[in-house]
Amino acid sequence: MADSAPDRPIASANEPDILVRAGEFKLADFWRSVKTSLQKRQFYGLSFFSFPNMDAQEIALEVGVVREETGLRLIPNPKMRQATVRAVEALGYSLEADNSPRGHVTLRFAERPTDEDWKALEAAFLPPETNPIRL
Amino acid sequence: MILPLLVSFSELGDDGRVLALTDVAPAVPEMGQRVYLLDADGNSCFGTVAHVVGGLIEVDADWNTWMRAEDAEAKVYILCIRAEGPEPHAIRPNKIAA
Repeated sequence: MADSAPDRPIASANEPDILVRAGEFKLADFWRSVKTSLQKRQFYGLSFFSFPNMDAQEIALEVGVVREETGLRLIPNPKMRQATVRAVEALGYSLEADNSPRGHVTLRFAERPTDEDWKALEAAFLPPETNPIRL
Repeated sequence: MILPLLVSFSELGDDGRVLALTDVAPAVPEMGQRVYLLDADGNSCFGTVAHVVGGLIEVDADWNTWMRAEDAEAKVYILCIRAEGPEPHAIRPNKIAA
């Protein structure tokens, strides 16, 4: 079930910002992610990256810059997927740009998600593409 | 014994550690124990357990051992994890048969 309106919307209606999700976003990855988030952050959530006015490849390259800045091996996955903020928010999900690290965006579920949430989200993303900063 | 842990490399900890869940782990590892990290796409690497806190296993990944799922060569390898050896060994199936 989706959360209420976001506290800090990351795009206005006229800014079709892009979300990048590391990996192929399979169902098993969805559940590992949301359960890990529950343990780590005390809520069911998913991680994405987004920077204003960048396409998906540019976002990934900018995450590469963040990688250099922080020393964190962010999005090592060979593949990644992209969706628009608008498409995800149109499903009723809340996105928050927490910028921890820079460019990080969290989707927060109001309650325990279901396989149906994954199906809806997965359909909003384009097919997997090569991650330009894959390890 | 090197413990296999199912993880998501998309959800790193704040300190960059890879996170695994104790409730789906075959066993709860000890700090300093070597583990094998595997994601849903088939990517993997080895790591060392830094902490076990609550339901989370925090692992320092050894990124030098990173193996992409898309690596066709890797797919025909079988990881033979030795209980006694310092490092795992990748062995081709035909060599095992031989």
